[in-house]
Amino acid sequence: MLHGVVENAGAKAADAESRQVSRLLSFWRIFRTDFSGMLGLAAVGILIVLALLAPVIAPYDPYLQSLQSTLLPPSARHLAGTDELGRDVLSRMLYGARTTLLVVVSVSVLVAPIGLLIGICAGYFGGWIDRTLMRVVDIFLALPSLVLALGFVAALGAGTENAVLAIALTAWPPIARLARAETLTIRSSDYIAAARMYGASSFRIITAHVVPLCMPSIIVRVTLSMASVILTAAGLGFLGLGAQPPSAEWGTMISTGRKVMIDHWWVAAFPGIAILVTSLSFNLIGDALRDALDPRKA
Amino acid sequence: MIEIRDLELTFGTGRHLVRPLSDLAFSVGKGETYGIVGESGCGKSSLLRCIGGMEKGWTGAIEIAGQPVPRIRRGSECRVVQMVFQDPYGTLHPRHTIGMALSEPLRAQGMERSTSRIADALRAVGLNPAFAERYPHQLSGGQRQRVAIARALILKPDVVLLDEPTSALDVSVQAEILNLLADLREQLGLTYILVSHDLAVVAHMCGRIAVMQSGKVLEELSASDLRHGRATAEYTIELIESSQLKTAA
Repeated sequence: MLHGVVENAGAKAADAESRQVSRLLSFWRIFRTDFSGMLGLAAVGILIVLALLAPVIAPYDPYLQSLQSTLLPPSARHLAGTDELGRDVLSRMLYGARTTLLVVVSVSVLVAPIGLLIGICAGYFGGWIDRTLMRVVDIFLALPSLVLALGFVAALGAGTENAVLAIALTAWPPIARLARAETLTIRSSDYIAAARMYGASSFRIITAHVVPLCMPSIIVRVTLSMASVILTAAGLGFLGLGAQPPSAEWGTMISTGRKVMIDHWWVAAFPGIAILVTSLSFNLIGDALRDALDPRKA
Repeated sequence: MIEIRDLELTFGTGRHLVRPLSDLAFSVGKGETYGIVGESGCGKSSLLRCIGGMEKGWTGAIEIAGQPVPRIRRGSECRVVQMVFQDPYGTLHPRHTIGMALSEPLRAQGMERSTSRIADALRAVGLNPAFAERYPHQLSGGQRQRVAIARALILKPDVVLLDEPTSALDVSVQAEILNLLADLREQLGLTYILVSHDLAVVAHMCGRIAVMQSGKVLEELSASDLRHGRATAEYTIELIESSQLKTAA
């Protein structure tokens, strides 16, 4: 046993890797038992596959207009009917899934590191840094997110990229809040006091000690906020400030369907269902993640 | 080894001013174990935090090994004093392996980080080097406290501050840890300051004992004074009596 301690750095790295794998496995074992979480995961998984395969499986070109066949009800030829320009609603929904997922992923990638950095700095350093950063967060939280996003898009011009920026602008404050709260409890612990005593730098304490403990709750929060990101993106699309026609986007599709909703329900209803199911799925995953990443279970 | 003069610690200003420590002075020789007893809130932990460099608002003078200690310590100034904390469950980072917990201090001080060094540190506190691969939640309270001692000693400090190192442990484990600490002191020529409210532990470990009350040293006793109840201050007599009542019951 004593000689089992290997000096070799390569073996040590492999060891760290196997530890990561085993931690991932134990996390998966807990996640798997959560029925609704698995349901959400399956739905999002299917959505990703559909979005990736959209050019292959879409029955029609999403931009192909056919004025002979406008506003046809769902049938064998058009499973989800056609819209007011005769475009196939199902095909447009499949392409719209791409836009939605792209927005969700870009917003999360933008928002998680920013929120984490600001929250941890505020919580760890305290004092005037904390007060300044948290007042900025308060100001952003005081503005309704859709209104803020609207103003931002109005200033920068409509389009998917600007919609992503606008949503990211409104989505980071809650994450910063959470990261700060987590950091405050971690900061007062004995292992941080010990790290300060042996002279670890603030940078090292933040990256090696605080961030790993903040990550689980941040992952959960980001997953849960994906639902509201989808809704905000759809809202911007609906108001004509997100993806621009003729590109397919669920919010824009509902917006055009609104005019004909009473007589031709399918034009707005199917993208609406897609938004509902997708944001619900992200919420279910978030709840299951919260349970599975709970350190008391690991 | 440790020389403390006119130490005073204050928080806040004006009407909200609190003074956990005032007019503190004592000195500890090299290789000595100096005990500090007193009820909770008397300033024992604040005193340790001042010596350990975790408080910045103190005035007076703290000298360690003949060198005055700065209020804010950087880099190698941190190596001289290390601390063992009370709670074995909060003393180690839950997501770091024992090996990482022991290599982090070396990294912070720019010392060589080798597996053999960590193995030696674990062996010195009576743990199998294979523990380096484990996480804190796989260890018992006594084992964690041993790791905490190894972490404090791996930087080869001159002074180790012990903040109730055994009060959260079972009685049998308590004795093991105390004996380990006594052995290590002898081997490495360490100087300890031991804070405890368990008079039996203090009498067993320490040569001299300071009795603290509301931020001041009330009186200083030798271990035999304490054992035989030879105290002068009324408060100390009360403290000794109440602890004897506890052991009798």
